[in-house]
Amino acid sequence: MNIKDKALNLYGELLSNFVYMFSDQELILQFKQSSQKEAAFTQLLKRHQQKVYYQIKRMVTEHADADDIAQQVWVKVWNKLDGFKMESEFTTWLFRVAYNETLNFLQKQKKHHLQNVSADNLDYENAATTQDGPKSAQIQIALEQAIKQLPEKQRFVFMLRYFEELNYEKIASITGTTVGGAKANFHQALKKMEEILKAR
Amino acid sequence: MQTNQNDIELLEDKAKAEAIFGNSALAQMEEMNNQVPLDYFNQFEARALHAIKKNKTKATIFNIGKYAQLAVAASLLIIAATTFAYIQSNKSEQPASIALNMQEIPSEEIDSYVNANEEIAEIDWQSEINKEGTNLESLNTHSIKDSN
Repeated sequence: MNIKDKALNLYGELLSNFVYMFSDQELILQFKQSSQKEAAFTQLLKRHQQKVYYQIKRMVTEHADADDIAQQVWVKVWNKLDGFKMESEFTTWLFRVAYNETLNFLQKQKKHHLQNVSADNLDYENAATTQDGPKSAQIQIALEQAIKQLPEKQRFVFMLRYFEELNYEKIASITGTTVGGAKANFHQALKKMEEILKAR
Repeated sequence: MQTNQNDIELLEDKAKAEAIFGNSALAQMEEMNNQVPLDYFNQFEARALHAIKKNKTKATIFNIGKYAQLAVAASLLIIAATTFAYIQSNKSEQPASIALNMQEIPSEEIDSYVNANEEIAEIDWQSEINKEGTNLESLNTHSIKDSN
């Protein structure tokens, strides 16, 4: 690597660090001023892509599906960000877009994958009756199955609360419900999962 | 104070979940969830931007702007309205004018017109028959000559 390349790399790093100093709101304002649209958007994407992807993957399980939905989410963000009024935090709005896209995907998938659900149950039964495997592996499978059986909204709320550690105000805004509704969803999810585990 | 209460509530909620499944099962689940192909997030940025550009070109093919859309709609509406009005006016005016004119013409005038045209027609027919006759004659003479 020659001196010119090194200088360019250093400049790039400095620039990216400088851009990281901007808040989400400042980046959105830059996006709205069309001259810096792509640069601002790229920074928002870099900053939040992992959280969005992980939350989607918790819901759909498959990487390829999560990848497709995540791309759709960012396409939507690009198209709608000009209209974002900044009345809520950007992450709340972003998770709401992700929530809607994931629900759309799951509803489409539901029609085609009814057979797969019964196949999954069979896998669980086989794994659960195997005595060789460690107990934790059985609990792991039972947990995944219990989560899969939850209604989508309860599942999304449970994931946001337990893994993303969001407060109920944010969860309510994301899922389009009240704070009380979000709390109820979380506790219903816990109760239902407990019942499913006991029934097995 | 509010943040503190939120934190306590969060810890309580997490403890409830862990009491059912155990801490390790949930942690393991998250670990599995966070497994992604190598360099996935570095490549995702470029792929997302590519998808956005692809989507943008698709959208711009039919995107002619709000005012242009209104102008096109208004023009089509004007053309449709004008055509409809024209057809309606022709339909309602023509038969009335014809009926009025026919009633105004005296019957003698109509008779004389018919008579005059009948004569012309006869004269025309006669001349045409004559013309045909000459042609037939000439044709016959040619055919006789050829056969000889």
